Amino acid sequence: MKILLFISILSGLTGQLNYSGELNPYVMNRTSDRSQINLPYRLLSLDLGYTLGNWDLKTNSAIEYRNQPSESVFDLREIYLAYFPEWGEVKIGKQIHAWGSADGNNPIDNLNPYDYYYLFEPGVGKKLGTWSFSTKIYYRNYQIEGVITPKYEANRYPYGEKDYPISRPVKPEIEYPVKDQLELGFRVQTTLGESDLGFSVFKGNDRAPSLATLKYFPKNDNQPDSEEQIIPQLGYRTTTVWGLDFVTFMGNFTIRGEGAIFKTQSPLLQLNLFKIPINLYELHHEIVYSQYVFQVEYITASGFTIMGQILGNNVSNQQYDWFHTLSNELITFGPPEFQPGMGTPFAIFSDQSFLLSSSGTLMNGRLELKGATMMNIGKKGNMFSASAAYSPWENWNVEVATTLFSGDKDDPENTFGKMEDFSHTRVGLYYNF
Amino acid sequence: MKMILLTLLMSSAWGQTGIEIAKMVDEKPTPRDMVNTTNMVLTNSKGKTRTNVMMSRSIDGNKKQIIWFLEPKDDRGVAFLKIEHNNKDDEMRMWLPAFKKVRRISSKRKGDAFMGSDLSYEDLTSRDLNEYTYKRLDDELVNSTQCFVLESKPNTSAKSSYSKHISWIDKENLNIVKEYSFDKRGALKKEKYFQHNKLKDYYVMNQIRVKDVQKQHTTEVTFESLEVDTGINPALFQEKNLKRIPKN
Repeated sequence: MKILLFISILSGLTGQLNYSGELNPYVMNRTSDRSQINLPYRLLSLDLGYTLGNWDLKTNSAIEYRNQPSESVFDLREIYLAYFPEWGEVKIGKQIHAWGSADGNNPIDNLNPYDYYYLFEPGVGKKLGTWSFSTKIYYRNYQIEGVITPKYEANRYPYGEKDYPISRPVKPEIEYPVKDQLELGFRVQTTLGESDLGFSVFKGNDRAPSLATLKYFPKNDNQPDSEEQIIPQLGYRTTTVWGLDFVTFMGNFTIRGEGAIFKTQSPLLQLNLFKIPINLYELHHEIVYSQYVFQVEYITASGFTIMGQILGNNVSNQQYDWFHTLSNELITFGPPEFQPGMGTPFAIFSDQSFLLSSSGTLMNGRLELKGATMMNIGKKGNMFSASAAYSPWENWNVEVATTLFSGDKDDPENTFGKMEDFSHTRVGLYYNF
Repeated sequence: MKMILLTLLMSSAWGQTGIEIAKMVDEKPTPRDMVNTTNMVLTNSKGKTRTNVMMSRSIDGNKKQIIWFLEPKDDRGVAFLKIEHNNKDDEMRMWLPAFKKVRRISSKRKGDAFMGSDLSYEDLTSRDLNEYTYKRLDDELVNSTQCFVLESKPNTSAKSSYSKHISWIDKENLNIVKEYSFDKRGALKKEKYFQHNKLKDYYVMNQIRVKDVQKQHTTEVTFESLEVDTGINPALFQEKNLKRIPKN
């Protein structure tokens, strides 16, 4: 009876059900020995929504599938309610946000964590939805946006994936999970002449873990077999990001750019005074670093888009102190290794790189060609990718793609080099509905 | 009496200059707003076709327009907003759902193709009367319709990708029935054929057929479910509305 009532209420509403989706089975094979790369991928994606007046209910879900062994997982990537009053928009629920003017690499866009399984996906495919509340006000030439995320989410990393070279063997234990989970973002965008200019601030927690404390066990002189032992313990730094982004036009060129300054520091650890181990040493790490992207794009007479992008990151100030947690006595340990815990994920590849890409269609839009290369500036290493997608029938596409990495044989830490064995070809089918 | 009036009208029409004809066309009553579903069929030189279906809303004689793409399915949700300005470059923005971003795109390259079609952004933009110089050519008959023939040459301020247009204008209702557009070298680039419907008090275009003679590629655009003066709220033409496909 209740179900019948619900259906009759829904059918009585003058709303509209919308859906669209994509079926995308594919296989990836290493270029080195043709062996299959066995990682999960989104076999089926579905956008389902219901619109009623100024209200939208939107969902985005996927079936994540792994070929060997055959297993699938349902992933509700987004589910949120959106309200569109005259003055703007309000959204609440699990959602993905997108900030920034540049394509693909956005240092100012830190609202959502990244899913490293999908690092090479375009658009929001590489992000994870988070529960948040957001509002955007449109006032004259201004757009003012605020985002509140009450529940913290970290990046998703592949652990124990032998087919993913930058994967860690086991998921590290996080000794200090985030206590203050509330994250806030604010952005204002305006149009000045023929340019758009945006300013943003975000305060939150790093998406990647970093060293917080270590337990130190000195060598026991009474036991000849004993060795000095250091056990690192991880937590998440708190980070504030100030960002600036713009888009402008010069002649036939479109110029997009963005830059962000990150101030990150070790969080205040809330330890139980009575349970602090005597051999615990705490790191207070404070770093100021910046990331930037500068992009120029041009559309040729034949409709191909050519885009050049310079991206870089730079540590401008780094201070650290090691101290004994119980006594607060400063200790002279070595400098900790710094890895950015926010910003564009491609910063893991290089401090400065140049990206050149081109895309366009031929044969009445049936054949789509894409090519891109990313070159490490100042050091060895590059990535090359190319793809061709042909549509034999409306809504069907067959895609053949390749991605190749080349690193520095003399530098085992070169990320491009670590990725060499990930060089692959991909053959896939797309069906859009 | 009627005969005298007709003769007077005929003589005044005969004496009209190019700019006067252009003004007459420009001052023709146009709907306050327009709603339609657009079918765009692209056909290449081998006869292969591709169909795009869009929903469009416009006001101020197309000076503000929003288009939502419905088909092909992989483009569903993509939307385009155009706002023409008199004293600065036009604003063009695209909503790309896969990126969840509204992307500002250049309006300087007016000659770029709109969604792979034979229509350029310039073809979709209304022409500013003052940015062209006009010359009346000899009248011609097109499919038994008496037409003014008007040559329009863009001034440098128009930043046009064309060197000139020759338009055939129905003398009776001032509808453009045919137009040839020439590239910067003066070679014929596009042939355009137009059909109009009478809707309320207006003649509204319901079909455009464009042939790029250099590429041997054609685009046929048909406007279906046409409605005029529906009372569209001007607030519709802002970014947030790109994200929502309106109800059919």
